[in-house]
Amino acid sequence: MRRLSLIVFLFLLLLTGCDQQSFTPIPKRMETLISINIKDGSATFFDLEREKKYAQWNLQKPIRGGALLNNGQTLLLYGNDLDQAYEYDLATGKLKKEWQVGEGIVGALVSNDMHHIFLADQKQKEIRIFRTDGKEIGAVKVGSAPLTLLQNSDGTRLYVIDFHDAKTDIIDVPKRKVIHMFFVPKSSLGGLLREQQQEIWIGGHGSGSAMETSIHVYSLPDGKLAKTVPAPDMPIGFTETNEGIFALSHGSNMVRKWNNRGKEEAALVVGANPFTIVGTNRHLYVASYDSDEIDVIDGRTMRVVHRYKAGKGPFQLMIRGGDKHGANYNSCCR
Amino acid sequence: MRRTSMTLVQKIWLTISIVVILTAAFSYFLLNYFYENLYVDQVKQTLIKEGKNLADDYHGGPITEEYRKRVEWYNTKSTAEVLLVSNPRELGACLPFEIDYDSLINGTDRQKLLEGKIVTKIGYERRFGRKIMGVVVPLLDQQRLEGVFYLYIPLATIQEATKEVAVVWVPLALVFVVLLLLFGKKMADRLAGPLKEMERVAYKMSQGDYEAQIPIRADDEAGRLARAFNVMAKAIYEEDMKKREFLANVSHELRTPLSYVKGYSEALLAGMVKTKEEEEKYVRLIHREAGRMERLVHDLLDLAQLEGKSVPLQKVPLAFSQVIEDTLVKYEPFLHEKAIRLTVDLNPDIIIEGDADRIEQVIHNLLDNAIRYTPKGGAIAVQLFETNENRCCLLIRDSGKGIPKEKIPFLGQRFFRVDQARTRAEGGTGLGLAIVKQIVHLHDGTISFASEAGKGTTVLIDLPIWNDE
Repeated sequence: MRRLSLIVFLFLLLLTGCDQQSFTPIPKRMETLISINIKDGSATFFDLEREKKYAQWNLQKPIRGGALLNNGQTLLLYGNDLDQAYEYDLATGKLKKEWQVGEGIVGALVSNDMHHIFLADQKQKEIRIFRTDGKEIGAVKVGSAPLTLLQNSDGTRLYVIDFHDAKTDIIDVPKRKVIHMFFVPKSSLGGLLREQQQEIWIGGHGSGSAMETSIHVYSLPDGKLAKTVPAPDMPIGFTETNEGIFALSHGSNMVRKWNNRGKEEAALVVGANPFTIVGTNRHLYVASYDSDEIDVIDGRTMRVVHRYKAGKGPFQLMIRGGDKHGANYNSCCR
Repeated sequence: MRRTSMTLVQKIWLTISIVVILTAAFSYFLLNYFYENLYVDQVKQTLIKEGKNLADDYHGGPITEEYRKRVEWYNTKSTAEVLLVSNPRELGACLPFEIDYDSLINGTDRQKLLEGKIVTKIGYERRFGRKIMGVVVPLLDQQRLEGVFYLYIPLATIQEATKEVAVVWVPLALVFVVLLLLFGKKMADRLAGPLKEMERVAYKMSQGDYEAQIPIRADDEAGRLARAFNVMAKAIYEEDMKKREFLANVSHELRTPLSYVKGYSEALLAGMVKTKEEEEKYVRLIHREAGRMERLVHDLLDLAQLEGKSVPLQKVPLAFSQVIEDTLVKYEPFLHEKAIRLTVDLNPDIIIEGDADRIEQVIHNLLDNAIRYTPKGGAIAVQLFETNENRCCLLIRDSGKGIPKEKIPFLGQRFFRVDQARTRAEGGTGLGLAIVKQIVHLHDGTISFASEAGKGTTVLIDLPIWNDE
């Protein structure tokens, strides 16, 4: 009997231990590249100054993406099949809070004014607006697969590219409503908002067995197709830095570079089935879903300068600290 | 409700039939199973080899148009369908995005292919709209899955092959089963045949026909039973013969004195006797014959008692020499009368376990015979000695005319006489030795005779010595 109670006690200890799980703390000032890996449900942290892997958090949960809150001090992790989102304090490596958001969250974007976080809910088919403390303050109905979220510089306009419904909804955030909509190709995914040029670049997978080979560029005032930019095959990742515009085509494992005037300058074959790209003014980071590697590319010379090993199935990249650009810091395209 | 009973033949045949049919059915399923498995496995191995050979020609980089054309040409020549798939969408490259497109390669397979493993598929493929046996060979450029070879064969082709086997196998098996069933019927008949024959013969025997025999076909259990039955039938037949012979002997033996009695008494009644002496002579003759009949009946009764064991022996330890001497004393007058010289040599220490009266009867009968057949002035010797520590021997030798050698084996049989005419005159019943033999037998002893015509007869009786331990 005593033995049994000891075992029960140890078991409970183990359970509570699991509950109070804490991970390697990430120093506050470290310039960090974060990779969210969906095959093994982990997050990998890389020290960009020392150019090495710093830690890996094996969360072992079906996470699908993340967003950085509180000036990059907390990391919110969500998943399509998870009932709640997890808010981790990076400096302590501990779970800070669980957000009861329900299943179906497929994307998250922190507003540029840092006041809101937009969660794309595929189940309820809406964009849900939360305060950064986790309180939901509004929702806007959108299409059935709002996988890609883009925003303007002050975070008042939200562009929701739908994966299934072949449309892009433009939301006026303060008014909490869709103010405009335009059609895009089916299975559109990933995009780049160029506010100054008043255009939006939209990528995609293509429909059926046909691969998408171009980037569709729409003019912003009226949502009309302005031009198509060839980028075979299946361009789905975008970033813009001082060096130019970069698009990642996962079907052909290719990163293309255009200068500010829209002229293609270079193309580089990199990685194995890469899904995501983020960039700083110096470097581009490309994560390969099949080879679990992150290639570091010099944005000017377009050469691979470094390679990191991530967890299994890197699906989203984020950069914290330093100077950063591109959609992926605040955005997500999934 | 009355249960229908089955004959042995039906039971055996039913058993054989069930076993044959079950065996055939089981082997059919087994054959099918193995054939399909081996065949499918062989097809799989062939496809894998073919796929690997094709993949050997890929040396990295994107799939070139020329390579694709070569594969297309190969596909026209190959029995299997060979597809070179390089569309990332078909290869499941977009799978984490819930695309509403059913790609050729699913996530699990893609992971295996990325590890350089070959994926095999057996079953229905929606893409091809039928059941297939297929293998997928990856074309990897380091960790990039540039394409796959998808080789497949419709499973119908394989099942057709199985059907072909069945076409040959099923008729053959049917013929085999029919043959086995016929053979089983014959076998069952053969097994039960001797039993039926025995039944028939037993009924015949109950009708008194003892000469019927069962033909023996094989040296198996049934054959041996038939042989034992034949032996039994023969023994019954012989016993029956002995009984008839015995009855014939008895009636014959009784008829002679009866006819005397009848003849003389008729003569007396008819007043054919003239004188008193003659009358006395006739009456004496009648008395003598009546006495003989009395002895005969007495001996028969005695023998019947001994053989039937209806009166058990009263066995007690006996001083054998004492019994012999007591008996010899009674014979002194007869010996004296015939001037026979008697020599006696008895070991006085020998003790046997026996019935005193019966042992005396043995000595009595043997001495009777010895004195009867020994001429006047002859000699009789009686000896008792140990042959070993467990056995003793009583020897009685006379100097009579002896017994012809060929007749010795018949001594001791009922009504056997060495000399029919003379013996009757001597007054024996022909049962004395039979009684001796039976008594000795009941005392666990043996009796043997040695004789030579003209030189006398020796009787040897071997008996166990009593041992009080």
